[in-house]
Amino acid sequence: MRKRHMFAVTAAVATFAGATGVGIIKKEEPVQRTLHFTGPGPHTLEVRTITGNVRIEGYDGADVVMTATRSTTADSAADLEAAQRDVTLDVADGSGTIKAVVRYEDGETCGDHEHHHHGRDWPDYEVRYDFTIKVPRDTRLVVCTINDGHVNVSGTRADFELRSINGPIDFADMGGSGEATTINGAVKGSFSAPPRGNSVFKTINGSIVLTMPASFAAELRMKTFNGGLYTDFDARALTSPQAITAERKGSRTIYQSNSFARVRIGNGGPEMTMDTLNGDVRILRAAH
Amino acid sequence: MKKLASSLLILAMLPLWATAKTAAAPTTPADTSTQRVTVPLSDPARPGSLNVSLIHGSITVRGSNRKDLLLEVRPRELDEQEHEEESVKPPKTAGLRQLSQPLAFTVEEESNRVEINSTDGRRACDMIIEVPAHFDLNLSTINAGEIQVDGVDGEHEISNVNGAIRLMRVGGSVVAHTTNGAVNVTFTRVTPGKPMAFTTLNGAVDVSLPPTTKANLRLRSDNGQLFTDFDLTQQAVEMKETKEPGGRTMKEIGKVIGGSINGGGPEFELRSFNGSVYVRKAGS
Repeated sequence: MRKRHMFAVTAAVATFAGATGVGIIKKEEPVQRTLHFTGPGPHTLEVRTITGNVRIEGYDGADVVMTATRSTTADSAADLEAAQRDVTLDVADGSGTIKAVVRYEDGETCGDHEHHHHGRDWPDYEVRYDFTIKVPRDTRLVVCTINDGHVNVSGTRADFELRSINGPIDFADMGGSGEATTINGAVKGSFSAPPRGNSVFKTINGSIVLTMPASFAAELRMKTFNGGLYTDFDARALTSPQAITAERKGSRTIYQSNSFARVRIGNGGPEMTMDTLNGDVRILRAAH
Repeated sequence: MKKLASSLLILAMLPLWATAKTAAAPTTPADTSTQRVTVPLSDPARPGSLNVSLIHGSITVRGSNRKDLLLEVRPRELDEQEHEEESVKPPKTAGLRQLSQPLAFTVEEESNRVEINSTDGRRACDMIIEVPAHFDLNLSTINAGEIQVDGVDGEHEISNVNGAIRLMRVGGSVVAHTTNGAVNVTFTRVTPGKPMAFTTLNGAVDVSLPPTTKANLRLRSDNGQLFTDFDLTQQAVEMKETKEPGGRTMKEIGKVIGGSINGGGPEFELRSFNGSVYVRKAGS
């Protein structure tokens, strides 16, 4: 099986918004790649985009099958040209890590902390990439999107790091452990096996709903500001005398309360943190 | 003799305390939310002060023979009415239980000054604080709770809005104001020469002073009565003079009754709009 590269321009649709008189050009391009890991593993797939959804499914194959749609909206033909030049998808495979990274002109991508938009003019175009990717089930996932970024993952067995800013995170039938954090959107997911390691689920605006198998055992840390904490597992409160820690600042001593509710499910296990501001936290037992 | 009795009592309580402690660690079935913190003072030999400001909740301060401060914070759940208002219905799935959440707060100690702030402005809580018997208190809350103090001697400044103020067996000096609620204060000792005030809009003001307290009282109740069992030497009615445009001088006869007890002293103001005012001799 050889690598397949397929780039095709299928549509370039020009429409005119009559009221404003601003011309908007839309262009959609499908991207399809089959990518290979080399080496014994563990294997990692890293997907980064600024705008767009990321959908990943675990399957029983050995390759990563990526389909994506690049959608460009531009004010003029010149802007469209600039978009084509400035925004690129970098794909790299042939090692233990496969990367699909959407970069802007200056190399900027999701998850970069070095450079922010200092005085940068926003271009008169928008490029979004929506990914649908099939991965071997034991692939570790690193996913990062920012705008209109719905992250949807299912059926993998390795650890995950899923990040969005403006969009929900959904996952189903997961076997690993890891992190799922967004800002505007819910975090909802189910596990086929209890998370093996410490895990963090975080949002600001949205609920966190996790469905766990009946054998789930863990230490939970949960917090919400506007909402409630719910579970139908047998939860026992953990009262820890060291929960409030003192910190010295010169002659002052500051004690900060620990506002996480801490409970133990079953006989305890990895630490799972659920943290939201506006929304509920629900830890539910899978119906079997 | 007295000292012996108290140490025997402590000895008797020790085993109880020990069993309670082992039973509480590490898991208890219900209470996920009460938090306790012990705050040592920088210099336990010197007096200290406590500053608590809440928005929703009650404050209870008890004087004790401890040399540090013990804070217990019990959050209250957002009530059901509030849930309905925001149309956030807790899910009705069978077996689903709500877990209570601890409250976010900070405590700061600097040279015996302790400041407690709730950083969760929405949820109400009850703060129960044990302090050394000599401690200055500055306590304020707005909604959903009383302020209670028992057995603390110091300079106290107490402010509530929608709740009562009850200070029992306090010493020193007090300035206490609420809007909707009674102000109830009993003194064991009064610092000579310190002016005080006990005021509310809706509720009684009831203050018990040591019988030998020297003070000038300024009493006022717009829609209630004034009571005292002190020998009040009534002062001349205070009048405010205003010159009218026609050249006439008008004297405004105020609603405040002024009078001295035990020969007079600093000014104590006791005032309610809709409630009676009582000045009692403590212990009688």
